[in-house]
Amino acid sequence: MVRRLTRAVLRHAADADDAAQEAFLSAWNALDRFQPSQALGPWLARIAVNAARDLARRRRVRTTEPVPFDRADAGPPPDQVADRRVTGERLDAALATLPERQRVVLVLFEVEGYAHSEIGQLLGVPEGTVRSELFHAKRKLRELLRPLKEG
Amino acid sequence: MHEEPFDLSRDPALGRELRALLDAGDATGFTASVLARLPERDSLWHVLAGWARPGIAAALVLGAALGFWLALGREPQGGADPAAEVLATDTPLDGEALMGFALGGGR
Repeated sequence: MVRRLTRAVLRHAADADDAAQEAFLSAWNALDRFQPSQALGPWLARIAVNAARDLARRRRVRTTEPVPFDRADAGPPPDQVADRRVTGERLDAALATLPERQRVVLVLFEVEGYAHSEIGQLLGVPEGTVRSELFHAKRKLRELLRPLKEG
Repeated sequence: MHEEPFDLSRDPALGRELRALLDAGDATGFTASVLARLPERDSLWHVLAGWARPGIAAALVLGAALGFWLALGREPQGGADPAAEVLATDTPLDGEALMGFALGGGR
């Protein structure tokens, strides 16, 4: 989860791993401030997002030419690899057009499975904002990916 | 992706594609590099102790309250404990005394 979130924020594989490492270090150092009554996942997710945002601020001078992610799953049979790569590349390109917060909300909701309210608490924004960001993100992705689906 | 407009429900297909896109490889190498950077800590025990401290305090208070309540409940009221009297007597137990004690009549 941590690496996925930092990748969603930074869109740069090496930077994302740097931020993920920072997140784990921060979590380790803050471990005695973690309340066991709270859920570990959102706590760690918040640290990851903050670490990625901090790194993004520090490296804003870097021209943002994201390195395409290597798809980690080696599952699909060879005849599906090309299709999946095309789909992945298109999704990657579509994701790049979204504002950072929309990407994070989208990943927290669709990949990590958090509820709107949890995402709101995690990011410190109202639940309505989460819903709005999610709606705009999905509409944009739908628009960008539709030609592929229809083709 | 689902085509319904204004749909804020989960889209499993999109979730799978996003996960495949964002999942990073070389988890072993990444984990090793994180572990190498972790600073030394005295131990994790103080963290666990910190987490457990409220629980221990609550258990101590509860235990003290329970002990106090039991002590009050067992305190003899208006004479010696009938059971102690029965056991202390030199005379052998007879059926009537035993039944009286078992049924709560004392002697």
